Amino acid sequence: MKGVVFTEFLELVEEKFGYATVDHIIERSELSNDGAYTSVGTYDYHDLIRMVVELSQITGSRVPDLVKFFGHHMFHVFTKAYPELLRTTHCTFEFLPHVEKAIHVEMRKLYSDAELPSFRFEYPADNEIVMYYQSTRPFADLAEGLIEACAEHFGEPVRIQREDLAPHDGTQARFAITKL
Amino acid sequence: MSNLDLLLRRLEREKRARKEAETLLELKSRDLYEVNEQQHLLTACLADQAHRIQSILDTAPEAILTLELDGQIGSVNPATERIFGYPAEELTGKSIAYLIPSFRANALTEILPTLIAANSSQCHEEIGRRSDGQELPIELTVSALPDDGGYIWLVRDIARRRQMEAQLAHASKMESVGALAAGIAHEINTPIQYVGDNTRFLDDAFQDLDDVFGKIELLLNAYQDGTLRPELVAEVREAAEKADLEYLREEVPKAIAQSLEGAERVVKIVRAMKEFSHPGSEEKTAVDLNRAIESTITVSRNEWKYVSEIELDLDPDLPLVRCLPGDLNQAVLNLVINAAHAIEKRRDDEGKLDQLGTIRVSTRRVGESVELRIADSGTGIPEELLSRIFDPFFTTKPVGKGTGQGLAITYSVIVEKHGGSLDIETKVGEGTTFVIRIPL
Ligand code: HEM
Ligand SMILES: Nc1ncnc2c1ncn2[C@@H]1O[C@H](COP(=O)(O)OP(=O)(O)O)[C@@H](O)[C@H]1O
Ligand SMILES: [Mg+2]
Repeated sequence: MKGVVFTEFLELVEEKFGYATVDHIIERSELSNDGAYTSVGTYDYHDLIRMVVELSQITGSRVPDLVKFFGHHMFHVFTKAYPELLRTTHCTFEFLPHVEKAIHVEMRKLYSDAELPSFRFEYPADNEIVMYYQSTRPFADLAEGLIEACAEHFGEPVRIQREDLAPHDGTQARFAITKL
Repeated sequence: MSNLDLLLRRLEREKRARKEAETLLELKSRDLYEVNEQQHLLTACLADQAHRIQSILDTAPEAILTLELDGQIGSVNPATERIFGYPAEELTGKSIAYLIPSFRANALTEILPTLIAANSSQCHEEIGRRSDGQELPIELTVSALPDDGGYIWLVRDIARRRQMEAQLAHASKMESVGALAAGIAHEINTPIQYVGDNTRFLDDAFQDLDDVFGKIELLLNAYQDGTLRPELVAEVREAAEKADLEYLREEVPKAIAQSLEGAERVVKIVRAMKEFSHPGSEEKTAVDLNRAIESTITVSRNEWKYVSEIELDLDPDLPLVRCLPGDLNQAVLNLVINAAHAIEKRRDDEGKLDQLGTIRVSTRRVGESVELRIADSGTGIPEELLSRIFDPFFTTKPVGKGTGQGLAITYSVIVEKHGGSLDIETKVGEGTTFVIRIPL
């Protein structure tokens, strides 16, 4: 997993809970590199999961909620870093396919070692889009947070119905997104 | 843990992160360097290839041009400059119609799909124009570049090939005169033979008569001297009887008549030969077509007489026709020989070896043209061959009998050189008629 996800995560924790908490979860997580992350590096995603689990223990929040919340944060990080993304698309239903078709593709150019999830779309009705998330890593929660943040950004009230698909470990999910 | 400790640890992590970032940066630089290096190699390799392709373009004998979609010339190779006589700078940006006037912009859009579809399988012939205004025959192959990138035109100067084709046609004409020579020799041999036989007979007859004349002379002298004796008269009688004077008086005039006839026959053949080949008549002259046909029939007699009879139906009032007599005779000869071959083939196919077919040659005036028909009772021509028989080198005959040049030459003579027409009426199993019309 790209280092940017780790550095942004730790920054978010520091912002919300202070650097003592950051130090604490790093100490407790037994990380492969002792928590010295750089955004351009690449690290084992299990480290991220360990840190989230530790954070959950300190804060008492559920892991999925924390990851989702982190997804919101990442959306803002991404769109701030690449503001032109938001100029070419105008709503959630446009933005999501654009991630698969263009954004993640661009990411692969920047980081040839990036391992990105893949999305597939269905359009059952004018006000509904279905996105299938598929990854080698269990970040369906992150995806959900990103989607929520995206809809919020465009000011579109939506209902997101998530269904975890086999093997039910968070690597495969179906998101039915309906405009309200 | 004190805040200071926490901060120090954080500082420590940041330092390590920075070092790692620096290391990564170095690795990336290194990668970049290597990629760059490979890029250089690749570029050199591409340059080398481009160089090769360039030298192919530079040395190709064909003109190779790239054209934009709208028919504007993009680039040209040196052969283009040489063939058309323009410097490259003058050609780029010009329309292709500059080199091939028949391709005015609108005609081009119409013909391009055909040109491209034909591609390598068929070549398209056109007339190009050189910078000095001279026309030159060319052959085109056009292919479309991918992604609407325009077209590549390959233009061959076929003036040289045309020249060779003409030489070949000439050679095949000589060949047919050569082929006729054996037949003509045979035709001349027969009359010469009996001129010889008759002359030998006259020689013998004269020997015998010489004896009789000797005795008569003696008789006359004796009569003058007054020494005439009856024995002398008896001797003359005896000599005359021995010489069979009766017989000679009957046969000698016959032998002389036959010899004269033979000599006339030879004269006729020789004259026909002369008329047929018409050496040096490169210009159109007024020709008696009937007489020309008769000569052609005469020189080719040996080619048809074993398989066919000839019926002539020549209009005595036919006007003279301005034409190239040598070429026209050749055209008619080709048709007569084809007719004889077709009759022979049918005879062999049907197993009727003792039957003669018919070749009917007729002339008449039709409006402002003369019409010449050559009809045979041969095999006929199957429908599926009709479109191909005029192609040079198309033949259905075994090697040695056919070269496939005959009809191609006839067509070129009648249609191209005389502005006439050449039509075929044919029915398989019944025969074929070639109808030539030449404008007056
Ligand atoms: C709302 C839209 C988006 C969704 C749902 C989404 C989803 C995800 C998810 C779930 C991951 C985690 C890796 C995985 O699951 O395999 C991921 C990774 C990533 N995404 Fe997106 N993403 C979105 C938009 C963006 C944008 C806008 C950017 C950047 C301009 C971006 C850049 C990245 C990068 C750099 C990674 C890390 C790749 C790695 O770990 O090697 N994504 N994305
Ligand atoms: N009078 C004819 N009757 C039948 N077939 C003919 C006749 N004339 C020409 N053909 C056909 O056309 C072909 C081409 O004729 P030509 O060009 O004269 O070449 P060649 O006689 O050497 O074959 C012949 O091989 C034959 O198949
Ligand atoms: Mg022939």
